[in-house]
Amino acid sequence: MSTTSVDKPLPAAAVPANAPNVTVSRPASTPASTPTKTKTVLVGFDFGTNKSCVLAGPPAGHDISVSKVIPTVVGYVKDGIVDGIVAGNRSILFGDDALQNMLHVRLEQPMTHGIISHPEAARDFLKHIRSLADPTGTAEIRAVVGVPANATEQVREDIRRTAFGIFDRILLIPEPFLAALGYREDSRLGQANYIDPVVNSLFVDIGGGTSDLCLVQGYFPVADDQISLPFAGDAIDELLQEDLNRIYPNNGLSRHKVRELKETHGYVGPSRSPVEVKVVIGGKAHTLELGNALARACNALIDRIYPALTTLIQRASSDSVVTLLQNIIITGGGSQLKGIDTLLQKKLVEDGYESPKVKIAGQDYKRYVAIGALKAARAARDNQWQVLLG
Amino acid sequence: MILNSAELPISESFTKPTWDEVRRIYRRIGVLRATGRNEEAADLEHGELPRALTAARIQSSAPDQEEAAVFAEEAERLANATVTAEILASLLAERLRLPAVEPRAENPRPAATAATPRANEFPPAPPRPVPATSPTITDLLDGMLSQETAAARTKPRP
Repeated sequence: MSTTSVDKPLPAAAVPANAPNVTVSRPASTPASTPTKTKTVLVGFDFGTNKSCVLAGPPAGHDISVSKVIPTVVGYVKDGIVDGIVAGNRSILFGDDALQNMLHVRLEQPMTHGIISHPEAARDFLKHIRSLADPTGTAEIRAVVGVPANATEQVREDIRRTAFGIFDRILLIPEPFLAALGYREDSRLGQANYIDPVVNSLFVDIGGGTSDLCLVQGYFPVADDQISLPFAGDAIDELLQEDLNRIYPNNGLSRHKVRELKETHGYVGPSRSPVEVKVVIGGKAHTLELGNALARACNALIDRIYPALTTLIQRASSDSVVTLLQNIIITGGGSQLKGIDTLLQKKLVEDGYESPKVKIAGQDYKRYVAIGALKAARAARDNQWQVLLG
Repeated sequence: MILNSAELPISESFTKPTWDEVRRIYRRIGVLRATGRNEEAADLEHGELPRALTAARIQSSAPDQEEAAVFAEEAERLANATVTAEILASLLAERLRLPAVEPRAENPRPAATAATPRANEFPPAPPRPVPATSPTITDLLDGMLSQETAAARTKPRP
């Protein structure tokens, strides 16, 4: 096999002592609902390294009862916090609530590079997702969860183990493929001028932990159709922070602030210096020149993505490659780096590829994986779901 | 009365694992040869196999006949397995839309990407045909589950 894969088993010490050995069974035909579960709620879940997206709805129709983008972070309230400081005197906070109370909580990130690195936080986070999807706690929850392209069995098993007892049934599907399903405009299928992205496209999903590329050509992608790179938004933040620390020693900028600067000013391509940004350090306003540092950090992503992109293009059949080149779609947080579509397209043209067209997925870039996941959940037959058994 | 253990009758349950070991090694040699790992096969043939065979023959009442029977049976199994594997590979390839044997399509501009320093990190794979019509999600999920089932079957058992 020639693709990069994500393979990092959970550290033994991090696995809860009472963690069950989860096995998966696929029911032949009859559902395994327990009698107490009164209804079924379907969940499409993009379990991202920095941001997650959850959509939920009933099995029939197109209604969406829950649609949220949540920072993937859990805050455990520190001992000794005075009553009333944390709203509702809760002991665990999630997402924005946790970040807003970061002084009073111990922040834990459940995921690193697209895989579960903190099982306890991951379980708490999934319980929170469940409570959003089904506040009554009585429904059978069937969740389609996005996983990095070419996630290994170990990575998948870690997710199943974490989801055991929280979701009743589960399907793990590669994120860029779900993004293609989410991006697909179902109402336009069959129209002469509409190219179905599921039939012939190349998706580049740049998240926080991994950049995932996937050939989507009308069948479920095999391993050779997918490449996952453990270099994405977080790695850019790290490079940027290193550079800023070198240029402006003792700048005191947190990783959170550096990420914010990247999200606001990040770009790829030739240096756009000067990019002057006012920040408050130690209570005083300073102006930092970020132009070159941003270019170095963000272009490092292009250096990694471009070879993977051309590799997948070369793996497409000669019959399909011309149309494929018209349908290269970038999604995920990395799609917001200014100039990324133009630069990749320019590089392809310079390398002689035939009329390539690189597009940004659009405003819903944070939701396409979850939209695709909910569509998959609605389409899955009973016997396609995996039942988590302890 | 206490008997010396050497005087104890050797039961079927004692002898079987020894011949089973011979069978296991014989099969392993066959698999190694089938996959072109001839050196490893030779190592087993001249190392583990004679040792296991000697142990098995010592415990056997009719070593020549039993040895011949074991080898004949395993040779047949290997032959059948080879044929089954060929058929199964073609079926799986069809199911996964992976051509079993198909020449690689020409790259659009091989020279262009060959110049890219990281291009060799991801060697090319055989291309697959693209269907003309939009597939349903349920069909796509069937494809995914077929892949998972195939992967699980080919995974070595502990």
